[in-house]
Amino acid sequence: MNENRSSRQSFLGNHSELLFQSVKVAVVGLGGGGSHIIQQLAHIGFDKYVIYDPQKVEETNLNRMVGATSYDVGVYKSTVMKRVIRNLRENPSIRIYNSNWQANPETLREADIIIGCLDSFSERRDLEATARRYLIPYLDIGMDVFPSISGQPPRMVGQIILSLPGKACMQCLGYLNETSLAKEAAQYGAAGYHPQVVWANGILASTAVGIGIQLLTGWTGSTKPIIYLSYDGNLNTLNPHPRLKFVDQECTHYPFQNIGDPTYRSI
Amino acid sequence: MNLNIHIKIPRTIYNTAKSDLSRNHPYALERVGFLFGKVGKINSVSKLILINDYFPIDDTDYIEDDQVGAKINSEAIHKVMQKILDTNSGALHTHLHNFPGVPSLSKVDKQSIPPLVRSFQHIVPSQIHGIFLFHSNHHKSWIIPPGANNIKLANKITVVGYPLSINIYE
Amino acid sequence: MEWPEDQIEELKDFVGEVQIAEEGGKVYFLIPILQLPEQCKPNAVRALLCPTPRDGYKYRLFFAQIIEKPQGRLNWNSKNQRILEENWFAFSWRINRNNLRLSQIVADHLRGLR
Repeated sequence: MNENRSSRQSFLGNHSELLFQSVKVAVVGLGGGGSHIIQQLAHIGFDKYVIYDPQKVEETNLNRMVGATSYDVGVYKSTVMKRVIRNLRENPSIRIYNSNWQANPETLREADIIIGCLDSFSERRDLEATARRYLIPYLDIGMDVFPSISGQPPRMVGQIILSLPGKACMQCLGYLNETSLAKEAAQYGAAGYHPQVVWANGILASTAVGIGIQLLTGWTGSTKPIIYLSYDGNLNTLNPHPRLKFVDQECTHYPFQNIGDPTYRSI
Repeated sequence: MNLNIHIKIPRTIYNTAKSDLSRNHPYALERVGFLFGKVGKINSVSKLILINDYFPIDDTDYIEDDQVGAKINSEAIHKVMQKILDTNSGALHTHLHNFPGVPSLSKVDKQSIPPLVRSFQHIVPSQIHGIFLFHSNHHKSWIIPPGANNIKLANKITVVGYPLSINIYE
Repeated sequence: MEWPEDQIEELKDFVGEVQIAEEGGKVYFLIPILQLPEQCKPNAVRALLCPTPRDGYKYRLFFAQIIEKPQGRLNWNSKNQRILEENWFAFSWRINRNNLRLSQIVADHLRGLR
């Protein structure tokens, strides 16, 4: 291992290099957000990955999938990510699943942290439920571009949420709710054009990685575990979501009594 | 079978337990408590123990004995066993050695605690029972694998909070 | 979350064994063996009842697998939905009435499989 590689990040703590090498990160979704995240984790020094994505690279991904080249069209996204990691880490451990995480959920439970870069509210809900059940912090990022209305420009938005077991979940934060889930379900099958751009993904991914590093190292000394950042791509701002003022610290949707492998009670 | 055990404990519960165990007792030198948790299966050789509760022992359930740090009575054990049964949980006997250093079980700990923990296996054999030892600046855990008699070191302990605290034990 | 005892008993009378669990603030009733209408394949299946609004439906009945029904086709718009660490499937079946009893919800969904 090149001794100088980590010297510029030594402020993260004496044992940070060893910590990054031993922590297992699961990244679910390897598109615009996930590819940025993996590249950054590899640069920082993470060695253990569990990655999920059923898709292959398409031409339309090349505007934003970091690490993918024109030659990668038709190649599994996971293959591209494996290459990105291997080009930066000498001996990484990379568990690859060319599937949705639901098809291979057990390995996910080994993760110390899950980073979700998913396209839908329902997928986020399901992933968060599993993360909560197995006491795994879950970092979620996402962006969207809403079409122009009445001559106004399109609106670019995004979010970064840290869902920490015991603390406010995405339902507590109001990000996941029956209205948004119902609306999404009603549009099922009409997925259509889903705008994504590299710079917005980059901002969200980089910030998420920074939050993840804080979570692992505590280098800032911050003790504020509830993180919900709202991105405005038109104004180029990233701010704590206004809803945070009204959120309870403790989660009511995922009590600790329900953690572990599910058990049904006879009635 | 070489079982790989990773214990995860929420920071709130960790702090509650440690705080309770740090309190002085009228006559016992140490306090005892029990961490309760549920198994999360990863595969046939790797399991999580997910701690979801801390059960303190009432002051009146200690037996005065100056030969040992702490001794609890049968009433206390009965309460713990009932809770194991009622919640279908695993239980980790826990106490605090209030000095820094690498945690290790004392001779008395090694003699007295494993038989108690083995008795928990009869109540809920599907869950994992064991010992969780706090030191002032560290912690360690040993478990008795289901169906086994031997006591083994838990491979990893994560305190889940902000920040995360991860300790790996060889 | 408590559910009326009489509805639970009625459901048990209708489908046999029933178990309960919670996740994400919702209650789910597991029916380990739900007998399906004639000529369905399989003819019995593990099922999970969600009696509260979910994904735009007032009620949802999930199955451990996609069911083949004797005539016609259903829109299985929920596939590999992960709930309580299992993957579930559900067909689109919109029930607009409010305050249905547990057994009525199941019975209504079973109509969709005829």
